Formats: sequence, structure tokens, C-alpha cells
Amino acid sequence: MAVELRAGTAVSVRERSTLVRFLWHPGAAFSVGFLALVVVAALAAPVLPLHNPIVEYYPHLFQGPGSASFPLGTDDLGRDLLSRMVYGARTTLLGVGEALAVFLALGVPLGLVSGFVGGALDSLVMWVADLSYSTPQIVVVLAILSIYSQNETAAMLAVGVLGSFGLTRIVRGSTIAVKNEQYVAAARVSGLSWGRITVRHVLPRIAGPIIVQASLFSSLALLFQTGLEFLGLATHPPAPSWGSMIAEAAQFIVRDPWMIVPPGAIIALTITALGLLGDRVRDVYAERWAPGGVVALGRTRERHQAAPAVVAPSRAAEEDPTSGEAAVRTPALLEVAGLAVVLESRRAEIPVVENVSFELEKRGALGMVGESGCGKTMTVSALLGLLPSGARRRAGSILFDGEALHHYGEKELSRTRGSKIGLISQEPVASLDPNFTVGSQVAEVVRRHRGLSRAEARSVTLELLDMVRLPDPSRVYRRYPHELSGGMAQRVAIAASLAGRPKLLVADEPTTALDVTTQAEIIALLRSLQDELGLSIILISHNWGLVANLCDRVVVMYAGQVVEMGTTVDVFTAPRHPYTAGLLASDPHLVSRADRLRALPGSVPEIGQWPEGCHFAPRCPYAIQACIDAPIAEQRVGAGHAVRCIQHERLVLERPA
Amino acid sequence: MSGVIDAPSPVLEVEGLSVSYRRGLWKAPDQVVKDVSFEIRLGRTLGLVGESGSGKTTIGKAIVGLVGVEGGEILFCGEPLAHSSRARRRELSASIQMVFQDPYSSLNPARTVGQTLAEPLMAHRRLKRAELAGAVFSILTKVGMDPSAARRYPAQFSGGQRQRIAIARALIVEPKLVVCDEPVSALDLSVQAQILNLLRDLQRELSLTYLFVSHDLAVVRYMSDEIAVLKQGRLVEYGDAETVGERPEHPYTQALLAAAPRPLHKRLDVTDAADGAIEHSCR
Amino acid sequence: MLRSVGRRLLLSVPLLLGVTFLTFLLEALTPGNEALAILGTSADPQQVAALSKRLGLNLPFYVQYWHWLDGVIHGHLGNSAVTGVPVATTLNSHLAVTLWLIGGALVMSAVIGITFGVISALRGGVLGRIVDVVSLGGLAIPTFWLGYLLVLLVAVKLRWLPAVGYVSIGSSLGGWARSLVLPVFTLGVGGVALVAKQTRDAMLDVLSREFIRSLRAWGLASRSIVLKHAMRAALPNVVTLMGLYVVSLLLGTAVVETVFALPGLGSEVVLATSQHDLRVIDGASLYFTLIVVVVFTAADLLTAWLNPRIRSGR
Repeated sequence: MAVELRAGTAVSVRERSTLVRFLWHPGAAFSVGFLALVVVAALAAPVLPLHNPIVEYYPHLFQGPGSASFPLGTDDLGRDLLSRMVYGARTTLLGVGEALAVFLALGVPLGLVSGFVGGALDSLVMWVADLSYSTPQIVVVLAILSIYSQNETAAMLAVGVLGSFGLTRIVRGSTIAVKNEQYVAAARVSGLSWGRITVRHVLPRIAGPIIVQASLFSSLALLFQTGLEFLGLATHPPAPSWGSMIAEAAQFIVRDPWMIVPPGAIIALTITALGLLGDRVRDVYAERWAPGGVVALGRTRERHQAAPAVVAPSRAAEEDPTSGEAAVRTPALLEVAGLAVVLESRRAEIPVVENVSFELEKRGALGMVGESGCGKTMTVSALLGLLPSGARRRAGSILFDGEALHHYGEKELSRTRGSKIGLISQEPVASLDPNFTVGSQVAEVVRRHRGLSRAEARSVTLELLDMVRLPDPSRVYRRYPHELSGGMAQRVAIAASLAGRPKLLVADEPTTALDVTTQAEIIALLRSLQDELGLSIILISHNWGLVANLCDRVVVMYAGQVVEMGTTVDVFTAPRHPYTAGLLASDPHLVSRADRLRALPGSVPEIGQWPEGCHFAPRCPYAIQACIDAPIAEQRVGAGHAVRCIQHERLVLERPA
Repeated sequence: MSGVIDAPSPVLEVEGLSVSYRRGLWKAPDQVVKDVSFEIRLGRTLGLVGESGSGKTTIGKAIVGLVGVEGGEILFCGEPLAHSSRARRRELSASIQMVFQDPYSSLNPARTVGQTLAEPLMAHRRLKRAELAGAVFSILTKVGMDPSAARRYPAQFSGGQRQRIAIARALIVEPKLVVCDEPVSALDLSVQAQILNLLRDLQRELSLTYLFVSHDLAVVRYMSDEIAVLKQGRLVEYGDAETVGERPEHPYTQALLAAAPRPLHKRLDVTDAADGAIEHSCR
Repeated sequence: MLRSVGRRLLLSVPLLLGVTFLTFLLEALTPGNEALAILGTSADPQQVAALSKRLGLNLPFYVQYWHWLDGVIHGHLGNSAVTGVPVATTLNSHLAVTLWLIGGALVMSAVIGITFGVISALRGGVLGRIVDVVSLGGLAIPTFWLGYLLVLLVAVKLRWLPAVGYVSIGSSLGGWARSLVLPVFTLGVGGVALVAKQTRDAMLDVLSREFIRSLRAWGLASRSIVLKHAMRAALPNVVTLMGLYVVSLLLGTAVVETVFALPGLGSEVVLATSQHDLRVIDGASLYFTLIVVVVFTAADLLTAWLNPRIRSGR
């Protein structure tokens, strides 16, 4: 039982508190500072050294900004604009505050209850929310103001009520999302009451969306409030407010354009600050609740975690262990040599694929085996020029059918894709465009590659759908992806990949998302297509069985490197790398209940934390000092069988019976 | 099922269980589990195998009380659970626990491992801080983790480590029965083997009873004393692991077994020597 | 398709009834106001009482509402308490300006906003930053302030366009267009910002989806991937947002009509509010709600047409 704990993985990122990370951003710092300044100034207005906002300092009318006694100038009656702005903030913020209070007091509890209880109550609440969404606020507010004349509080409370259903909807959505999280199910199974679950797991999770909505709503309420004041529907002259200041300035806009600047600017700045605040809260929460957790750089399921570290480039880059063999066998369709892919982060280039070389002959089937995070997908993505953003091919050559793909730009690569190399991916349904019928998608690919008319493309598409053994192609043609099962969708994806008559089909875990019985069918289909069309295939899989069923050669990858390659028979029956042997021994298909799986200790190291020597050394039972000291070169151990291990002889000697 | 058997007594008996989901207010409920019966005796493992949509996970959820029971009965140590009160359910959660499929979403990313592990304990007992810490430390050690993990967040651990933590959370209340819902299907092969071995070791050490749910017949066969095969909510085959896992009678199980990719099954059987070598190490 | 329109209509009837009923309910909370408004505040209380009785203002408000509804079905919205002119006549004469404003702002925000959004989603970097700033600023600048700044600059300083006033489309097409440029622009800036931001977010989301990668792997031209496939997937979000945007536009039209002295529904209803002219407000609430219903139905139809899952009724 190995202890797999590795210290220091991203600790520094996590241990800065959320608050500090939140403020560690110019926009957030500005907005919090500015909003605090406005609120404090408004609250403290009576004790600040300001002029009385309603005293008219005759004859200082229409004074521009800059004077010591009137820093922002005066208005048409000689009143101090700065003082009126600060006092005006009291009116404006009070109105926004009233609306916000109602917004939160109604929206949050209603959303929580609706999300938790569900059923008829939920439907009713959502129906009311739909209604309130489409209710023109202005109608309700004006009706109120026509009766309670100039009663701003009543108007803003109504704005809060109407807006609160939007919040209800968001809170409900988040509540349902959290409710369905497995950790909430786990808390329920642990015997926690709903009350505790809400406090511990739900509220912290929805606090972010609530703050975002509150800041958004505040800016809307501010616009609404100042708008009403501007229209003269909620003012109490001569008391100042931001909206009425603009209305007053508007009357003298030609004579004194300056007057309209300060109140407008303060509104715009306040709303900007609220907007930045909301954006920042959203970003911080998105990081915090990302599926992988807090780590700032995108960490995906495949664990392409980018932790800053500089790893020495492989020194074995010049060697090409397979070149001797190539001359003997059938000419290769694909030759990859010294391929290196890096993830670029701000601080470093992190290798994700190192010095990968392999070749594939015509009509051959090559299996790529290894666990997640070993670089299999990155390797084939590099072949197709489909590396994710942030990843880059740093070195290596890719020769396909005599063409040097590594010299191609995006445009030429795009012509290669589909017509020379096809790709099918792991998620069959997600890999089809949900908004078009599957037929029209495949037909578009056909037209792109073969330049046919619509009618011709249609009949070619039907042939393709028939070729991948879809029953009743003309019916499938009209279906949308969401109407297909996973197996059918994968067949459609295969048809689309073959539309450009490629010579090589790359299948990246094509059956992982499918049921076992469907898996077998897809593999059978691939094998027969290989025979019929003379295709070459690269099959990426972590499933030994699939690889053995389809492939004649196998490449085993570990932590960005090829650690072993050879014929399927050789690799399966006489693995020479300890990782290959360990993976085979970990497969429960090969043992019975009476035996015990010989599990490898530990797990694949994260990207960026690969050891300098043999990447597998920390988990290897045979590791010696030389394994740790320096990178290991590939060595030939038999006909077409190469291994990146200096201890491979011991594996032969110690093979368990 | 097969009559009253000698020792040991059944920990869990499921009798004619059916479960339905409502997919919408106006739609008819969808019965996803139909009249399923089985039992598990103390310290043993029942493997529940089936493809997606077969209802296997729903059965596990019904046993831990995450979904309601429509018909039939679930007996835990003789006590009927189908209609027990919430309060009783909460008490029982100290005896019936669950390990979830996805080690990424089964741990709250904003809480430390220590907080997560202490949570089930605090739901049941009033413990002092030191006692809590002691319990957390000892369970972490038991699942092969360094106790310092308690201070860290889930994001800092790999999938395998997270699943160890999730197992620790289930075991910290010292349950009798653990429902393992696809506990290794999100893990890589080498890590999967570690977790399977860990679950087997813990079972022996703590005399746990497992309901082991998986889509992978090979994994189930490795883990279970008995296997129940589900298809579209119905039990189609049920018997000891040897029989169901090697010589199934029902055509569906046979199809599952045949479809399950076995290394060196098809292409390599031409190579006699190789075939022999593998067959030897298989048995 | 039918299903989503049906759902919208199911929502529209209660919405129309609900909003107008709410208006009546609020008005009923302070009876007598309307008679006062007609007679002036200095009127004799007896006269007020008599007029209230004659107008049926003493009846329970739901009876009044029922009478009003009955009138609506027959095309009568009552008469203005202030001018005595039939409400429908007044509102109809003001409707055109408001519809032009809303339509113009919608077209402007759709065309410019979507273009901005797509460009910034594809280019990122500096352009993305610019769109960020534009969308933040476009939302932050209050309509009335922007309106005056534009009047000052374009009309007063540069004298390119008229500052205020409205020319009907019938009297002079050129004049009509010139009178609407500034108001529509003022009203539409916020929409451009909203739509640009939403488009960019939706496009970025779509472009990271798996099917985009497979379309690339199949060798489709990036032009088709972006403009046909990604846009199609991103648009429903944008359409939904634009529906909501129209609801918030209604206050904006009132403001813009006031700033540019346009004879629209918004400025009319603001005037009615300050005059306690309740029948006009009742009528306007009906008109505004109808506008919202029409826009939402159109948005639903468009979304359903774009999204096969809704179209097939799932």
C-alpha cells in the first residue's frame, strides 16, 4: 500500500486566501476602493468639510471646476456641485439599498426552497419567475408613482421585488446543481441534516453567484433610480440627487456643458465599479469551484496541470532507435521522430510529450497504451495540428506519406485533416454538432473534400452511413445527434472521418464512453474498415484488450515518453519495461478472485513534475541509482522491440510464472 | 432467495425492490428498478453488474436512502428500511455507507480533507477536537495516506488519492455495510488495482460487507463472492462469482463476458507459445 | 416549435392580465385620486364625490377592472382624465416613435454587438480587451447622460443632426431618419455592450466544445466552423438575452424620448404619471406588455428554429 502523497503540488496557489486572491487584481482593487469611498463619503457627508448642498452662493453661478472653494464648480443657482454630489449619493444609495435588500430577502430564500423542494412548488415558482421576467418594470413602477407621488421608496421596493425573481432563478439553478453534486449526496449518506448541508455545502457554493447577481442588480437599480429622478418622477427639490442633477444640468447644457459632467461621471464610475466587482467575483468563484479544485491554471480531467517547473530537455533527442528497422519492412505511412510538445505558461515551458518517435506502416494498426496524463492524446493532436491552445510542438518531424507535416501551417494542415488523416474521439455524441442533422454534417464534410453537388454529396453520405453499418441510413441521415445512442453516434463520427478518404484513422479512446457490448461492435467495425479500405489505424486506449484485438504493434507511453514499443505479441507476452509489466499485472481481466492484483505503487506524476532520469523510476521496483541520475535512452531488445529501460534484462529473469 | 442458509447471517436483504423516477410533472414515472431481490451475508461482497441505464446505481442509492423505494423491502440486519423515518435513516448512516464513483466531484473542493472526514463523525457523535483529529489521522493511515493530508484540499491530490480519501470518509463511522458505486471506473488501470486491493484489505481487516456496483465484469469478478447481473432494471442472473463470472447461463451475461475485451483473445491465439504463457498466468 | 410558442402564449395571457390587474390593484389603494386629478386639487369634496360616483370610481376595483377589460375587448380603453381624449387615440399616435426606437436599438445591438462579440472571441488579446472596455462602458454610461453629450457634440457643436424633435416617416423620409439617428444610437449603446459580451462568452464556450474539435479534424474550413456551426450554437443565448433587453429598454425609451423631445409612449406615460392620469397608465401598461409579448414570442420562435432539441419538443 503505497503512500502517494507528494508535497508542494500547487500549495502556494491555494494557501493564499480567497479574499487576497480576489483583491489581487487591479479591477477588483479599484472597484472595492471606489465603492467604499462613495459609501463612506455619503454616510459621513454631514461631518465632512463641505458646503451646504442647498445654499445658493450668489453670484458664483455656473462656475467651472478648479477653484479652491468649489472644486467641481457650481450650478445655475450657485450651489456647490461637489457637495450636491456627495449628498446626492445619500438619496441614490438609499434607493439602491432598499431595492437590493428586497432583492436579496426575497430571491435567496425562495430560490433555495424552490431548488431543494422541487416538484410542483418549483414549477410554480419558475412560472412566476417567467412572468416577472417579462413584466415591464416601468409599467409597475409608474403605476406606483402615479399614486404615491414622488414616493421613491415604494418605487425602488417594487424594482427589488420584480428583480428578485431573476435571483430566485439563479439561486435555484445553483442549488439544484449543488444538490446533485456527489459530495452533497455523500453528506446525506453521512447523516447530515438538510440544514447543515445548506450551511456547509450549499451556501458557500452559491455565495459567488449571489454576489455577482447583486452587483449586477445594483447597477440596474442605480440606473433605474437615477432614471426616475432624471424624469422628475422621484425628486424632492432642492435636495440633491444624481439623477436630478443631470436633469438640472440638461437645461443649461448649451450655456454650461461642464455642469452635466460630474453627476454623469459618478454614475458611470459607480456602475463600472459594480461591474468589475461582479466579474472578479465570478472569476474567483469559477476557479475555486472548478472540478479539479482551486488550481489556477486550467486543470482538466486529463490532468494537464501546469505547475511551474523547469525540466531539462531530454538529452536523447538525437537518437532514433527505429530507423534501422524501417528499411527492412514495408515503407512507412507515418514516421514521427523526436516529437516534443510543450505547454506554455507564463513562467515556463512544460514538456508534455518528450522525444516521441514511432512509425506506422501502410495498412498497419498501432496501439498507444498508457494512463491518462501520459501524452497519448497530445501526441496524436500534434500530428493533426489540433493541439489545444497553450500547447505547441517544440521539436520533431512528422512525415506522412512523403509529406513533411511539421513544415505545414494551419491552412495546409487543415487540408490534411480529414483527407489524409481522420480522427474519431472519445465522446461520440459530443463530437457531433447538436444543431444539424447528422446527414447534413457528414454531407458538408463530403462536399468539402470531394467538391460534389448537394445531391451527389447526399448519396455519398448515404453510402458512408451504410458502410459504417448503420441500419436504415436514410432515416439516420435526418436524425439529430441527441436522437442517437452513443454507439450510433460513434458510427456517424467514423463515417464523417472517412468522408475525405483518409489513409490513416486516429481513434482516440473511441469506446471509453460506450457500453461493453457496443465497444466490441465498434472495434469489429474498425477492423473490417481497415481491411476493406486499406486503412492504417492508430488506436489510443488504456484497455489492453481492445489493443490486442485490433493492433499489430503497440507503443506504450508513460509520462510523455515512449517507454516500450514492439509487436503486440512481444509486448504482451514478454514485456521488457517494468511499467508495461505493471500495467498488465494491474488488469483484473487477467486474474481471478483467488489471486491478488500486483498493483504498481503511486500514480503517474503530474505534468511539470517529471523526474530528470527515468520518469518511471519513483514507482519502479527495479530502480537503481543510474535510473535516477540521467535520462534513459531507448534500447533495441529484439526485432522491432525497443524499450526505454536499462534494467530490462532483470525483467526477463524475474518474470513470474 | 435460495432459502435460509447456515452461517453467517445476512446483513442486507433486498426483496422485490422497485424504484421509479419522475422525469417531469406531466410524464409517467419511469421504473428503473423492477422487482429485484438479493441478499448479502456478513463480510461478503455482492457484485452488481450491468450496462449504463441498468439501474445498478439506483439500487445502491435506494439502500443508502438517496432515492425513495417504490415497492418491495430493504432489510438491514433484519430491520426494514423502505419506509423508515428520516431520523432513523440518519442514525443508520453510521452503519450503511457509500463510496461514490467520481473522486473529483465527491469531495467538496472548498473544504479540507480533514473537514470532509470529520463531517460524518460530527453528524453522529459529539467529539472533542483532539478525538476528531485522532480519528481522522487513524483513518487516513488506514487507507494508505499520510495524515498530513488532513490539512490539504482535494485539488492537491490525484484521482487515486482522492478515492482513498472518499473511502476514508465512508469508513470513519465504522459502518457494517458499504455500497461501492463504481469506485474505480474513473481511475487509471494501475491506480484502479491499488484501490481494488485496498478495498479487499479493508474488508478483511474490518469485516466489512460490500455491495460492489460496476459495469466491468472483470472488476466485479475480482471483488465479489457473488454476482448479480442487471439488465434494464431486472435481475437476469444471480449466483456465486465463479459461476456467473466464468460460465454464465443467461445469454445477456454471456454477451457481456464475450464482449469484454480480453487481451490476447483474438489475434494472438495463433501464437501457441504466447497463448500458453498467458493462459498459465491467467488461472 | 408549436410547443414553445404554445408555452409562451400560455404565459402571455396571465402576463397581460396580471400586469393590468396589478395596475388596477395599485390604483385602488388610493381611491378618489382620479376625480381629484380631473377637477384639480382645489375642488370641492362634494364635487369630487359626485364625479367619482359618475365615473364608477366607488365600485370595488375588481368590478372596475372587469369593466375596463370589457372595454378593451371592444377596443375602448376609456378617456384620459386630464384631456378627455380617448386613451387609445392618444397611445396609438405615440406608438410609432417608440416602436421605431425599440426596433432601431434592437437592430443596432444585434448587428454591431454580434460582430464585436465574434471578433473578440476569435482574436482575443487586444481586441478582446477593447470589447471588454466597450461593454463595461456601454452598460455604465446612463442613457440620459449619453444622450445629452451626443446632443451637445453632434447637434450643437458639429450641427450634423437635429438636436431634438421628430419628423414622421410620412412627411419626410430623410428628416425622419435624421431625427432618429441620435435617439436610436443613444438607446442602443447599452444593447451593443450587452450583446457583444454575451456573444463573446457564448462563442468562447462553444468554441471549446468537443464538436468544434471534430469539425476541425474532419477538415472543414474555419470559416464554416465559425460562421455556420459555432454561431448557430451560440445564437440562442444571444436571442434570449435580447428578449430580456427589450424589457429593460422600455424605461430607456421614456428617457430617450424625454431627452430628444420625441412624442413616444414613454414620454406620454411619464407625463400621465405626474398628472395622475390613471386611464392612460392602464392603457400604456397594456401596450408595453403587448410589445414584450410580441418580442418574447419572436425570440422563442427564433430560438426554437435554431435549436433542434426545442424544435422536436424535447
